[in-house]
Amino acid sequence: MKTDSSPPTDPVVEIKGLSRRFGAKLALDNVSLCVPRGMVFGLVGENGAGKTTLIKHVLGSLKAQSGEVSVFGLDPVTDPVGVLGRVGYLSEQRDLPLWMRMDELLRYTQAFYPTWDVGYAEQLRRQFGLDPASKIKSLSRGECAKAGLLLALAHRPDLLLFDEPSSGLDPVVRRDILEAIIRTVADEGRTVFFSSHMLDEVERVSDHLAMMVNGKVVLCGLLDAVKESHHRLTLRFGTAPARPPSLAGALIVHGGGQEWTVICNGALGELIAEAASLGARVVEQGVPSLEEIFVARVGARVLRTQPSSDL
Amino acid sequence: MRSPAAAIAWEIWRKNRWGLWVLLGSFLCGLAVRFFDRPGDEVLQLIAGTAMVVSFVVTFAIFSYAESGMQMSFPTRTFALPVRTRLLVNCPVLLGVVGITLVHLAWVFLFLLPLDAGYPLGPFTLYWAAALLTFQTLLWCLADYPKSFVVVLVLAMALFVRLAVVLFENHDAMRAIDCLIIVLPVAYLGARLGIRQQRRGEWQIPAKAQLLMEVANRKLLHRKRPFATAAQAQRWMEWQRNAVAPLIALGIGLLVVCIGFVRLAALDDEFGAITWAWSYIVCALLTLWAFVTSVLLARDASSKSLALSSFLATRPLTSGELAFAKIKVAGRVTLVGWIIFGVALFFWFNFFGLHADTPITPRDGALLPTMGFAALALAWHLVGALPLWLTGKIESAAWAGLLLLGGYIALGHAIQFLDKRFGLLVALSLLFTFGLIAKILIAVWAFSEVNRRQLLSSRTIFKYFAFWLLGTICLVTIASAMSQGGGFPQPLVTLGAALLLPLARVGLAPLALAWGRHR
Repeated sequence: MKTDSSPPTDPVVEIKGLSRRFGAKLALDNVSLCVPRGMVFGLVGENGAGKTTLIKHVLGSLKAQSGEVSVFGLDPVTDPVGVLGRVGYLSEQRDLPLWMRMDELLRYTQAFYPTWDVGYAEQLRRQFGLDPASKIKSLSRGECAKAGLLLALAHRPDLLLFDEPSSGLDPVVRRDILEAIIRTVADEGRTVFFSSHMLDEVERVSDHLAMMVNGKVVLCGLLDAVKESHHRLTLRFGTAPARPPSLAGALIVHGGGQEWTVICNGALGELIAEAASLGARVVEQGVPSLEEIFVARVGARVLRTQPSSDL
Repeated sequence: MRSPAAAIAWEIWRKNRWGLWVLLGSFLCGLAVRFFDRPGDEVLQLIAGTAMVVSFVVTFAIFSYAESGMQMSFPTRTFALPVRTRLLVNCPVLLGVVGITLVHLAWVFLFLLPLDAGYPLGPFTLYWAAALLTFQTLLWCLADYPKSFVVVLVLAMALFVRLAVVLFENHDAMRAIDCLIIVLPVAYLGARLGIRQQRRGEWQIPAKAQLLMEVANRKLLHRKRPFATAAQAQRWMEWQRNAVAPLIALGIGLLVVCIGFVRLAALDDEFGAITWAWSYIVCALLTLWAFVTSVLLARDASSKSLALSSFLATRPLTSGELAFAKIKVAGRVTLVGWIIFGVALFFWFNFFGLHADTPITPRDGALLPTMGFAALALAWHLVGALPLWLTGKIESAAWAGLLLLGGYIALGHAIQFLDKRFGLLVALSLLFTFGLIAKILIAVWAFSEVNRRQLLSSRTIFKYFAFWLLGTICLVTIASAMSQGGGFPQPLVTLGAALLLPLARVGLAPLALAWGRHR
C-alpha cells in the first residue's frame, strides 16, 4: 500500500478532464473539479446527469477512459486500499449483505478499518435505534440507510462520500442526524463529498457546489459565490413585448404581458442597463435560491405562464 | 392485452425470448442429428443428448416464473394486481406443464424413441409435469429461506432420480406412477397455499420453529469474536454466505441417495446394475454441487448478479485478497466435499463390499474410486472456473452454466477429432501436453502481472506455488500408483494428474476480479 505524502493544502479529490462513455452515451464529458480539504462539497444535477458515474470514478469502481482522477494524491484504481481505507462511502443502493446480523456486520466491517472507533459505532447504533440482533434483511429502507451511514462514519474517514444520502431517510432523520453529522465531520477538518437531489439540503449544508448537466459540470465554486453571481430580476415594460425579452446572461425567463422575471448571471449594473435599453425597468431584484438557479440551468429556457394571446 | 392470463403469458414470453431461441436451437440440433443419424454414432448421440439436457434446463428456467430480486421469488409486484391468487398461480403452472410436456414429446420423437423403442412415454410425461410443478412450488414457497430451499430441492431431486430409475427399470413402475399422481396435486396445492399466504403477508415459519432456528444459528454459525484481519473477515463472509448451505445439501443428498439405493438393493439381486446407477447418480450430484458452489462463490455476497456490488467493491482490500478469499473457501469446500464423498463411499463399501457382483472389486478395476476421483476432479475444475465469472461480464448463473457447458462440449469434440486422426492415447497425450505448457505459461504471466500490480504479496504467491507443487507431486504419485496395471500408460496419467490442481486459474482470478472491480 502506498502512503499519502500530499501536503495538507492539496485538494482531497482532484479530477482533470475526465470523460466516460457507455456505448453511445457520453456519461461524463471532460469533467474537471477539485474538492478542497475540510469542505462540504455538494454535487447536484438532474437524473442521468452523471453524478453517480463521477462518484464511482472517485471510488475506483470505474476506470477513467480519458483524464485523471486522484484521491489523497493517489489513483483509486491502482491503489484501492490506500484510497478506500480513508473513505467512508454510502451507496445510493444500500447493497448491504442482507443475510448478516447487525452486530456481525459491525464486526465484519471493523476488520477492514484500523481506525474503527468501537465506542463511536456503538453510540451511532444507539442513536439510530438499530437492534444488534436484527438481520439486515429485516430492516426497513430507512434503517438500511442508517446502517450504511453508521458503517461509513464509524472509522472516522478523511473523506465521506455519499451518493444520495437522503434517499430513504425521513425528514427528521435527514435534518437532525445527517446534516448534523455532515457539519460535525466538516468542523473536525474532514471532507464530505455528496450528491443529492435535495437542493434545500445542499444549500443548508454545503460550502462548495458543482452542478452537472448532461455529463458536464456547468457550475462549480463556493456556494455563496455561486449564489451571488446569479440574480433574479423582475422587469416591467411600458407595453407588453411581442416575445420574451432577450437579456445577455439570462438563463431563464418567465412571465407574460408587461411583467417578466429573469434569472441571470453577470454583473448587476450591466444587466440593469441592458434592461433599460430594452425599455424595461427593474421593479424587484434579489438573490435566487439554489433551486431557482438549478431549474434555470437545467430547465427550459422560457416558461410561459400566461396564454400567448395575453402577450 | 385482452385478459390477465394473456398478460402473464406474454410476460413469460417477453422475459424469456432468449430461452425460446435456445430451445429452438436445441430442437434443430436434435432434428439434424435425427436426419444424419447412423447407427452407433456416439458423437451424434452425445450432441443430441447435450441439446436435450440444455432444453430441459432452459424450460425449467423459463417457467420458474421467478423475479430476480436479492433472491429468486414469485413476482410479488403481481400481488397488487386486481386478480385472484388462483389465476396468478394457475397461469404459470399450466403454461409450465404444457411447455415441459411439449419439450418432452419433441425429444421423445426426435431422440428417445429411436434410441429405445420401449421408452415409457406415458409415465415420463407425468414425471416431467410433476418435476416442473414441484420445482415451481419449492422456488415460490421457499424464496425467503434459501438454505432450506437448497436442502429441500436436493431431497426432491433425489426423490425424482429414484422415481426415474424405477420407471426405467419397469420394476415397481406402478408404485412410482402412483407416487407421481400424488405429487402433482400436492405440489399444486402447496403452490396455491404458499402464494396465497404470501399475498396475505402470513407466509412465515411458525414462531417456535423460528426461535429454534435462531438459537441453532447463534450456537453454530454466529460469529461472536472480532476478526484478526480483514482477509479473515472476508473469508468468513464467503464461507457463511456461499459454502455452508451447499455442503449441508451435499451431505443430505448423498445420505438420501445411499439409503434409497440400499433399500432398492435389498429388493433386487442385481447389485452390479444398482451400483452402476448409484455411481452415476452420486457423480451427477457431485457435479451439480460443484456447479452450484462455484456459481455461489463467483457471485457477489450481497447480490444475485455475478458482478461485484458496491458494498464489496469498496472494501479496502486488494482485488487479489478479495479473489483469494473466494479461492481459499473454494479449496476448503472441495476438501470437505471429498470427505463427505469418502464417507459415502465407506458407507457403500460396507454394504456391498463383500459381494462379488459389485464393480468395486479389483477385477473391475476399482470402478467406484475411479469415478469418484473423476467427479471430484471435475468439481475442483468447476470451482477453478472462478476467473471466468469474476470478471463480472457474465450476467447470470444460467449464462455462466451454458458457457461452461459449451466449453466442455468443445473439449469433448476436440478429443473426438484427435481420437479419429491419431487414436485416443495420442489425442490425450497431445491435449495434456499442450494443456500443461499453456497452464505454466499463463501462470507465469498472470502471477507476474499480479505481483506487478501489487494485487497479492510475493509471499502469498510463493506460498500458493509451493502448495501447488507439493499437491501436484502427491497427485502424480497417487495417479501413478493407481494406473499400474490399468489401461492407460503411466506418462499420460502423470500428465493428467499434473493438470488437476489449478495454477493458471488462481493467477488469473485476481486479474479478473480487478477487471470487474475497476471497469
